[in-house]
Amino acid sequence: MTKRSSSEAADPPSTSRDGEALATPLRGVVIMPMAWRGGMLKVASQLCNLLARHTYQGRSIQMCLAGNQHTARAHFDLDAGVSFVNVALEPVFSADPRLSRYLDPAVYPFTPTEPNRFVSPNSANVALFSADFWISLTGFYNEGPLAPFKPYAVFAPDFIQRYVPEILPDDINNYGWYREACQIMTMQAAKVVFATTPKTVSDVTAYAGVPRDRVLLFPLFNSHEGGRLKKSGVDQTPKIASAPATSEAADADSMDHQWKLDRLRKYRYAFSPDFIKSPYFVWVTNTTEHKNHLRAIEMLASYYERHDGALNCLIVGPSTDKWADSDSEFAYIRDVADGIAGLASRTNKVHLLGELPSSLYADVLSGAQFLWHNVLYDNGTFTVLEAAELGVPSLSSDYPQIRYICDLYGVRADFFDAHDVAEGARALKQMQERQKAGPSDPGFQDLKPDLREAFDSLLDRILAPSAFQPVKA
Amino acid sequence: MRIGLWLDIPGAAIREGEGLLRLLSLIFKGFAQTDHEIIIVASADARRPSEAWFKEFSEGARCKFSFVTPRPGEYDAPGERDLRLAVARKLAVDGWLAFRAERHAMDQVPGPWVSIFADFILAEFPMHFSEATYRQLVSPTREGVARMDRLVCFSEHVKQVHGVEFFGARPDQIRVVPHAPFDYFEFARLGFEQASQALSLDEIATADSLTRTLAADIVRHHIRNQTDGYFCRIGASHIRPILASMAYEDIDFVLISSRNRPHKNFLTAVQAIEHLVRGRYSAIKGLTTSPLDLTSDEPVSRYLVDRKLHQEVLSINHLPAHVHACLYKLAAVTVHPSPFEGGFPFTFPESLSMGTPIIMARGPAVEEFLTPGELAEYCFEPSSARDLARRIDAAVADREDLLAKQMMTLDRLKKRTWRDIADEYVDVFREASQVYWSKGDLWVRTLAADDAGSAPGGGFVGADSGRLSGPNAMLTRYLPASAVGVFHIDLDFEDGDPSDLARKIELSLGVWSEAGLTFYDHKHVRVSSGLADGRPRVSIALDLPEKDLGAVKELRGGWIGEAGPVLEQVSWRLAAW
Repeated sequence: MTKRSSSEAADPPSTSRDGEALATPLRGVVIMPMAWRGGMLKVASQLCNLLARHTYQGRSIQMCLAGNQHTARAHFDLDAGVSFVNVALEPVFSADPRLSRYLDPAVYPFTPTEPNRFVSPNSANVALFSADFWISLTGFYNEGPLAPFKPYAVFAPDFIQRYVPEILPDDINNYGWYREACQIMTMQAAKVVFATTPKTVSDVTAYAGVPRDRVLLFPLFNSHEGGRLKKSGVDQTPKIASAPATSEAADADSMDHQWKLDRLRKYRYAFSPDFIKSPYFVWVTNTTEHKNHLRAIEMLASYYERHDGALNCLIVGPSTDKWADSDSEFAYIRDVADGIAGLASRTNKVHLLGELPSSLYADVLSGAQFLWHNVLYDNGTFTVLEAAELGVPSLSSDYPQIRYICDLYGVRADFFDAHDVAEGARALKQMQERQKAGPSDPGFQDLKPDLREAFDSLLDRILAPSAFQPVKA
Repeated sequence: MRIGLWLDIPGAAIREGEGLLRLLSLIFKGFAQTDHEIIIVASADARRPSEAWFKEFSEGARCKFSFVTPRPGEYDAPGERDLRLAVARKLAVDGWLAFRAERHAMDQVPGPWVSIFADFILAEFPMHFSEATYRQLVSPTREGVARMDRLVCFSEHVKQVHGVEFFGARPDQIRVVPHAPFDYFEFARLGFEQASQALSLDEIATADSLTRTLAADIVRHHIRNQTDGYFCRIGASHIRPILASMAYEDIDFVLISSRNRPHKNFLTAVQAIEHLVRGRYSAIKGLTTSPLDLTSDEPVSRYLVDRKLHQEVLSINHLPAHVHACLYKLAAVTVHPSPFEGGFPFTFPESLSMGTPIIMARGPAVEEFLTPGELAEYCFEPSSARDLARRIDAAVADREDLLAKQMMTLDRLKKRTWRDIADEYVDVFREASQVYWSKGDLWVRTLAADDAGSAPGGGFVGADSGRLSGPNAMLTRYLPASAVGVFHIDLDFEDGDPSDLARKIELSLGVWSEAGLTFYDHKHVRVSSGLADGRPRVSIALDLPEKDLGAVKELRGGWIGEAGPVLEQVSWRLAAW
């Protein structure tokens, strides 16, 4: 709180940062429908923090992050002044009179049975019901769309289920199917839906049927601010031998060297640093990309066996240690593990390093000929940008978001069709030949997106008065 | 000419939107400005569902249309179960139109019968149906085809391959009456008027004044208020809320305007869309007017569920014409995946009249009516989802180019109108009457007007023969609506005393009207007897009062009272002028 100047009249205390007398602050809540702990939690926190720093029409914004008790145990960074609220979501029947005052028939043309219920934060939750607006991170509610007690926006990270259908369970009666339908309904009824790439923006209309004028292209606010890769700086040769592949990456840096080596010995592959000395490329991935691992393995097999691939392939990424264990209970992990093991033993050029702490990852990456990025689809990862920043070119699967990100950051990458095994193998060979001719600079221009206009735009839409006013009981 | 339509579709199917109803509607619109008369005979449960359909062509038409259903308890033969037969027999028409070659009604209702023979799918795709279905359908259709006086097809292919080769019909028995194009907006005008009222809009006067936003509003409004139609279930809810709020005007979608039947090649269209969305990251969607039940075991439903395409191919079904027209308007491109149709597909003029280009499958129907250049531009190889995907992509990218070319084709096809088709049907009925008249040995027959009559003042002469035997045997003759004036009936017997026969035979002329059956008394009936060519002849002349000209007439005759002689052969000639 700042001091009031003596010339001011006796106003009630303000929460201003600038010393000006302010109107009452806006209150907003970012709601997480699911108990995310990784990237989505980071997005949620960033949204809260960024909005809390924003001023809208002279008003400050008080933000709150709403999650459940699982989220509460995870690690996230919220600015001072941004609170975390533990919220339970409960169903509300469509015919419930408490809800009916808020259901604008122009927006909710539902009969009482379709959908027969909505989902609402527990009504005892003061923070949510004294807010001026909500932002729902996706609309993945299990039992029904979000109840419109407050005007809300939806953040759409991507529509991966559209492009990687394996993500949905096979049984149509599984709740996952209905959850997806609830997302569409939640989006169709939102004041505005926002996304960070043009392809996802286009999908909000083409896939979820939201009118174009209610979809906003947002700058990449969840850029890798604060997460930039830094090389270890100690020794230029990558310290692979001393690096364990562990899942507790956050703690890996502080682990004892001997302890790391001990852990390594549990793994299948004889871990020798020698292969590091020959030219290599890095395949960065994680275990959630389903089928494309298998295609990737086929591409690698083709690259080595039919195209005489000369480079080593180092496999790194979060959770990839799971592939070291071919006795996993999950069939798809076993399949990938077997595939990698087979490749490794046949070619002696494929090595699974697993999950590395970030500085070590930077070291490994900066010594690579190129980065191989083989996902079928996502909303554009920063993997390629990280490599570009380190001066390492990338060979990436071709999908709209990655093109967008490369354009935005001025990165020149090579692309291939992730569905086509033969093309993928050829592309690897071509990259190998290209790099032999001499190192190339992928280019990289950092972006500092100005979020003020974007947030103003967003809040304009959410807070715009509508023709329908909830009938005050 | 007065034509009866034997509408053998149950009420439930009419609600479903049977494709043939669309065809009949177009044919009857062709009749609208003629002086003919059409009477539709249907079962009682079809009346309510047919109202909207009936209005489409009957409102404001010069041609007289009526819809006749049996009243409860109405029958005229003991044990009669199909009440429609009773109704139909009382109607004096110049001929009957059926839309399926079947014997049932034809055997029981007199008159020349013309059947529409749209196609026989089993001749083209035998393996798409079960063996049992095959057996069930082939022989009745074969019999029907053999007995029909005339058949109408919409393409040479169907006439030749299905009619002549498969069923052994004679080439002159089948007449090809190809379709004409139509303006779908005009066709759906009534619906658009009602929609404008319901949505409190200015009247939508032309297809151009129907904007994308307006069309989308009409679609959404319809879905919200729809009482029939099938919506998929996903989990706890139907998909209806999603469809009711969807921004159709902002989406590039592919409209698959086809029923999902095994031979319609629906799956290829689904695969093309999948390839575009997932392989090429294209921002399109699929919409179809076919009901889709995701829980069924049918191949397309299974594919949609296995490949998780349930949000990519959405079904909006049971649509009235004006809502259907709006979907065409909103679509980026229409796809007609079925490689076979009985005639040139209706989807072509439907789509183009709403300003949307169409991609069709190559097959006999389109090959008969399009030039090779047009085939190459508009049609995809039916088995290739890739070919279709490529064409959809090109059409979405440059819609106007394909649209302009197809409009030129439409102009060429527009030289033929549904009025032309109505005239052709009248012609077919004339031929059918002549055929009918040349058949012998039928008990119950209808007389048909033959313009080439030799009676003074024009009129008609017809002859038939039959057997008359046993006590109270009845012979019934329905005189056509166009028969007027004096009727002269000559009954020629093999042997017997003419005056004795004249005494024993009784003939009466009854007139059926709204009031019921009125019989004429002796004032109007003159009986004479004598010998003609050595054979006994009984002649009856009937004077029809002016007021009854044009009313339904029935002539009955038989032996009265005592058992009469059994006659093996009687011939008679009925002349009316």
